[in-house]
Amino acid sequence: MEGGESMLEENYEIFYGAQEKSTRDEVDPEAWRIVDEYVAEHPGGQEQLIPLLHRVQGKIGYLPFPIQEYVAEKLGMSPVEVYSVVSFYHFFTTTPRGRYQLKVCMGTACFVNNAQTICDILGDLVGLEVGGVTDDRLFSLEQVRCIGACGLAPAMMVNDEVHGHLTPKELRKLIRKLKSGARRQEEGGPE
Amino acid sequence: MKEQMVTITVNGRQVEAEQGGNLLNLLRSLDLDIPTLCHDDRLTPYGGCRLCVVERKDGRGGMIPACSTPVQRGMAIETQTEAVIESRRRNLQMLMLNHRMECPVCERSGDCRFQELIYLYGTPEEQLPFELIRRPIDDSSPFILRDPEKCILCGTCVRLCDEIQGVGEIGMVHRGLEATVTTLLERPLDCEFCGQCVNACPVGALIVRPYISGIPAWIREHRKSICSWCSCGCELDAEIYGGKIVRVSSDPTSEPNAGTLCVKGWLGWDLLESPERLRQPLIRKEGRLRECSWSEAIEAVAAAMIRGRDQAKPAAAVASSRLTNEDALLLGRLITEGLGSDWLGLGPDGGLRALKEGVAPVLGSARSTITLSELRDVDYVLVLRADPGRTHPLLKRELIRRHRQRKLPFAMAAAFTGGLERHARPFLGILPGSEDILLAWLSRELAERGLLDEGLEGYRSWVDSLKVWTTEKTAERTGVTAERLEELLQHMLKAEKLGIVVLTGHALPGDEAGTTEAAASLVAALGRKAGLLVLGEKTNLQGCLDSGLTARAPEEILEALAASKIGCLYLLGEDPVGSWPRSMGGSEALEKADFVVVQDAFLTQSARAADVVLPVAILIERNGTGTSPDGALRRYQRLVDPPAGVLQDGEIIRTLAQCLDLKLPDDDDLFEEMGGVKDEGLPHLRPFSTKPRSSGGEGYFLDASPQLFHSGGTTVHSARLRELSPDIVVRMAPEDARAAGLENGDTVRIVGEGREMLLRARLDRCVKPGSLVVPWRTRENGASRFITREGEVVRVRMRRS
Ligand code: SF4
Ligand code: SF4
Ligand code: SF4
Ligand code: FES
Ligand code: FES
Repeated sequence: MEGGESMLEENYEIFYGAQEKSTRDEVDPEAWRIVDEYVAEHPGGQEQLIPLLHRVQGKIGYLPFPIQEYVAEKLGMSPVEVYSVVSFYHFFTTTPRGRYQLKVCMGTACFVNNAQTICDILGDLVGLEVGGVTDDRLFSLEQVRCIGACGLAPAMMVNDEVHGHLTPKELRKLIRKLKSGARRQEEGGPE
Repeated sequence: MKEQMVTITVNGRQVEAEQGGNLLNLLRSLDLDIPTLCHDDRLTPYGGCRLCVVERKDGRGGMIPACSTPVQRGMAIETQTEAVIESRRRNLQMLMLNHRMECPVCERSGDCRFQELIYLYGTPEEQLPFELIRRPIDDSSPFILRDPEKCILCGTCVRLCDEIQGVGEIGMVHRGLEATVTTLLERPLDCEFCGQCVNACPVGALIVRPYISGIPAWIREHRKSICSWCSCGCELDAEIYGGKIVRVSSDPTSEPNAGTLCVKGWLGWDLLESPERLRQPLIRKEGRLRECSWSEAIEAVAAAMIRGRDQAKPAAAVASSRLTNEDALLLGRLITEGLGSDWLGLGPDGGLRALKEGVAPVLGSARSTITLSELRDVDYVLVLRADPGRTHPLLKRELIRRHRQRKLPFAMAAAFTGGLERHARPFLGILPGSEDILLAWLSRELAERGLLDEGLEGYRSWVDSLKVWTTEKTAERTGVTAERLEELLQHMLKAEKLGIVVLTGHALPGDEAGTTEAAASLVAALGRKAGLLVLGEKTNLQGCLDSGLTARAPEEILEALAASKIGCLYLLGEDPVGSWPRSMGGSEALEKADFVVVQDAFLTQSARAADVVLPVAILIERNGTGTSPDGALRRYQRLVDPPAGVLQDGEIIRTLAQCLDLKLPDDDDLFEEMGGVKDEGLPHLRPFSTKPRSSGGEGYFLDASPQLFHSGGTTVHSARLRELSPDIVVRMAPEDARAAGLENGDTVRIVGEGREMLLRARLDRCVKPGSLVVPWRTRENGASRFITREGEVVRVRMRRS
């Protein structure tokens, strides 16, 4: 052996010092699987980018950078190309959201039907301010514009699913259900 | 072109034009000045800056961007109306609002298209209330400064990096006022440092740190020459001031490289001023090398040569194929006529073996049948043996450009990768050294379909020898699945015109002569449908070959030396001790020579053992001509003078000739002699055979072949290239690293053949899984320690340290 640690250190830092370590991070293992699955089902490379990003964000709530890089690799694009698409569209986000994204509608119909109260109650139930994510990344809470379910006002969405005619009681039931579903899933059972 | 010609009106004049052609090009061909900021002829039209607007007057009126508008029948275009001028002025004003205008101290002042246009068009009277959005300069890269406050978002850099360089390191992110050009997560640039982005940026938003000079653009002298780092032969545009290179770029209209360069041609020139360069002759006295005068050195060399001639111990010369044609011819004269010896040869070079032993026996002459530029227009290209991004960067750019812009596919068959595989259709990651088998299989398949010229001499026995290479057996020996083979075949069948490219470089596994012969045979049998391009390692291999410097193989010369048959050994740019494969026995042989003369720019290991060392001009310090692989002559123009007291090869040879009373012709007359291509015998096929190669065993394949930033002996003298490629890094595929539990920067031990090395892991998604990329030369002797023979396949293990 030659050189010795110190030379290895010094020489490496010159160029790579500023670079971070490679990360697969604390990304939800689910995310990698979604990408693999999707790519297997939908051949065709780059045209699949936006639908694939939608799918991933729909499931895990956001688009972590390691996943963007992975998507790039799978579709034969460069990572920054993927990021430039992600950053262009407002509906994509790179900051984590919960597994269950609670999106309370603040559109006119819901607003006059006490959406604010619904939102407050929901916040208390999961312990979040609007825009927050729980530590276990189970829930995130946001307010959105009309979701097109005015007839059901006050309404909200949990991920892609619409829940209408909300009452405090329903909300409690819903949150309880989501929590126990998640618990069961962790133990390996069905959701 | 089958395009239909139509008539349109431009500024009231009737003009013939091609329907669907590019309007901007048409207007420019009419000598009309149309300003552009985001247009680049080499890229697909973009239409971002709207500086090129012209007015359309035929009903469907309005302002249209000329750069991204196709010509249509009956169009009426006005290029200089009041409205056009006003619109351009407004667009310039918009860009200026968010531009940190500081021309007097800007690095690009005087060479900035934006500045020039503002000067031409002026600015509107009315001031718009807007405050520059502050953004910090990115100075995290050692070579490229990015100044987003000067960026006008023309997107040229992003598109070049993607469409031609194929890297996609930078992208346009966010939108509206927040839009900016950046890397993923604003990480420091970690790219190929080709400089394409910088050289095409119309403003001063991208700055080359090593070329920051404070010397105004308008007092620099522009000179063009040919880059002599590798055999691609890119044209350079150097800006010189005070005898020094201030900046290097390339003109977008240059051939064959269309304004593109690689990191070596762009930045590697600091090696000319390396403190390690020899500046004075050295002579051995009392066992040690000491500086001496030129006359003393030359006299000693001439005396040694004459002594040898008189004692019937001939002189031998071994030259590197970097010599210019003139210098090569002079050397030939000196050795044959001046000293009556025929011990004349080039150093070991895969390209030489490929041409002499692979191409010449089959095609009749040792040269390629297609050029790099001609590859642009063939339907399908098959690249063999290496990733050209590592060995021949210009070829890589051509392939990417064909593929990205015109959807013309190429295949790449190589054991090791460098990133191009992502673009290949298909990529065949074959077992090291099995390219010849792949070619044999292809030939058999095409022969069976009756697509080859059966009238060729030797055709029958050639085809018979291919019979054994069934798909099954080929798949087994090459490690490529039958489906992939089929995919390759289908592409080949579809193509009307094919290009087959064989790459050579040091430490590439496999037998270049055999592979090239297989490729030449296939090309011969395909007739006019196909062309063969063999790319050697060094800049003027073809010229040195044509000049007849190949009388003896390097092995033969070393053997004669070892048998004490040689008197004086004259090495020009070759280093048998330090850079030839160990098994050739260079250092032992050198000891047997009576007198060793080394002509080099650096004190190589052979130079340390020499009796006289002569410092010489290199690369772009030389005048002369070279021959490109297709036989075309090209002129090397001296861009800067060599350090004082350093001569060019030819000058040294002429001085030696004077001492030997040999009269040498002028360079111009020499030129006449070159005679060009000899022979042109009819193609002749020989039965195919393959040498068995042991790639059995376990462990990772050791990849010590050229890397972009590090291609062996010369690059290590450029501090810039060294900085880009710390010689203590082993590159590996991320999945291999994951499997071994390694992260970027971890220290690992590489073990093989009873030797080991300690290196830092670098995850690189361009590395082929199952292989480890180790630099050929390090401060110690690098990966070459694991390799004894050229073309050998070596496997190593890796442990976390
Ligand atoms: S980039 Fe051009 S316009 Fe901007 S400050 Fe520099 S020279 Fe002036
Ligand atoms: S230097 Fe070359 S590879 Fe790097 S960002 Fe610029 S164009 Fe891309
Ligand atoms: S950095 Fe230069 S080339 Fe790139 S978008 Fe900005 S102005 Fe254009
Ligand atoms: S306002 Fe809430 S769904 Fe329309
Ligand atoms: S040059 Fe035409 S829009 Fe920029």
